[in-house]
Amino acid sequence: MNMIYLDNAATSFPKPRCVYEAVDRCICNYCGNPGRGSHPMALAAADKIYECREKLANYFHAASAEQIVFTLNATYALNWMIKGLLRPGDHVLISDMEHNAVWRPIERLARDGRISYDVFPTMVGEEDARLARNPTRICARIAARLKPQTRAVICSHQSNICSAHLPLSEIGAFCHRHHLLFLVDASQSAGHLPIDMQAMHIDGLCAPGHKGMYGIQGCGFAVLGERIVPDTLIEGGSGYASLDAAMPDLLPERGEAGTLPTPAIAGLCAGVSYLNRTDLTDVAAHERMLFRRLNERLQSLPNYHVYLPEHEGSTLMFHRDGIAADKIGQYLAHRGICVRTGYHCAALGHKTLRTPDGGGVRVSFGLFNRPRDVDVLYGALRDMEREMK
Amino acid sequence: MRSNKQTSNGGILVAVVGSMTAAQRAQRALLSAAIRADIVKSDSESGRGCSYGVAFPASQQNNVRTILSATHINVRRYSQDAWSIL
Repeated sequence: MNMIYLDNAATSFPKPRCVYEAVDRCICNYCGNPGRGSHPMALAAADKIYECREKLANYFHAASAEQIVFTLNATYALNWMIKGLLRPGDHVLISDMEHNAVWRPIERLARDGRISYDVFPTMVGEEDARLARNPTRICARIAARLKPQTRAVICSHQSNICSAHLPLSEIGAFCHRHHLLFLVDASQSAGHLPIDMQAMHIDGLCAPGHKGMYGIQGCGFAVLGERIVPDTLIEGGSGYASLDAAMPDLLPERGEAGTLPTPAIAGLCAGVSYLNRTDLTDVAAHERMLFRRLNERLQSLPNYHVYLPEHEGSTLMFHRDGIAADKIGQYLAHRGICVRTGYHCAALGHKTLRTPDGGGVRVSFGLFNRPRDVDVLYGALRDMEREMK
Repeated sequence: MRSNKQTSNGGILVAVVGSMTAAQRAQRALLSAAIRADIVKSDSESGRGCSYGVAFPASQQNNVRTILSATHINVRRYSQDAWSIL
């Protein structure tokens, strides 16, 4: 059975060949412990990691390679940023489309009485979806919720359940004017949409290595602006100042206790190189084409509803009246078609989009999907409809 | 024991900078000015435990000081190195 992979928002597959080769080379040839020894294997591993820092810094227009801090994944990076920067009494604004990786740590801090937060709406149901693209309206909604103790705006660039994305440039400029920290979850946009930390006034950006950046699972990263150094989330070995009881002050080591996943970082480094050879405009156009193709086909089926169809991009979510999303996912899985169903760890987003019980069926595209993949999915859904009669 | 290969002008110095990442930045800054620099462990020089530095020909000391200062790399100390081979 041929597999059709349409779950790139969870993790991209396949990876470019250069990524597999880079991981293999690392494991086989130079997988010493980076930043610990000074023998050739350790130095070679450290060299690859620094190369990746430099590439990521260039890619996101960060001030220097030292501003790149590797983490286990984007969730870890977000937790580090949120818990390491916010202080007792702070007030925070998050969007109504946040992933649980933002909402849960914020909610935890609020439940513990350390901070307070409000949610700013980016859209009011499908009928108002066009407004999500109106930066002025979104900034006005943020402004209406500002308090004297508001310290940060935290939001995802692109939702993980649809292709709506927030206007980072305008929100960043707003935060800059109001002296607010601007922290961005780029889990779904890194590698899909252009991001310029400096032009967008982003203080902290978090992303996984294994989604749009085309690395393998095992590492994520935070890109820090020059005015923030979050407190540590965990402490441990850092490879230097080891007689001190406290973690060192210097970035990136301050945020990188323990051994880094060199093979995953080597893969990410190759992924960034691949993206540097790829025009992001072409990637976005390709994903929009696939979105449009699927949307047109689903619209032709009775009882199917696509969420925010006017927001074309890498992710499309739909539901079918009368059939729970997980049953559709199960049917498709038997046909070798990989999609993700349910609530996608995005309680706020599902509430905002008013999905039915059981959530929705998410189809997420990547660079290597082809129109035929959409047609096979559509064919399978039509078969399912026939079999139900 | 490793031999100390003396350069033509006074041997080898180490700029002790602290972390591996700081040493990598220093190394790249020096290499871009065509100054050979190797990353070495300098634990015994730091006073704070594990540490890294860059070893370079002592003949380049003035240039190295200028370059590392210009690139805002905090050098904790410069020390003679009888062990590095450049």
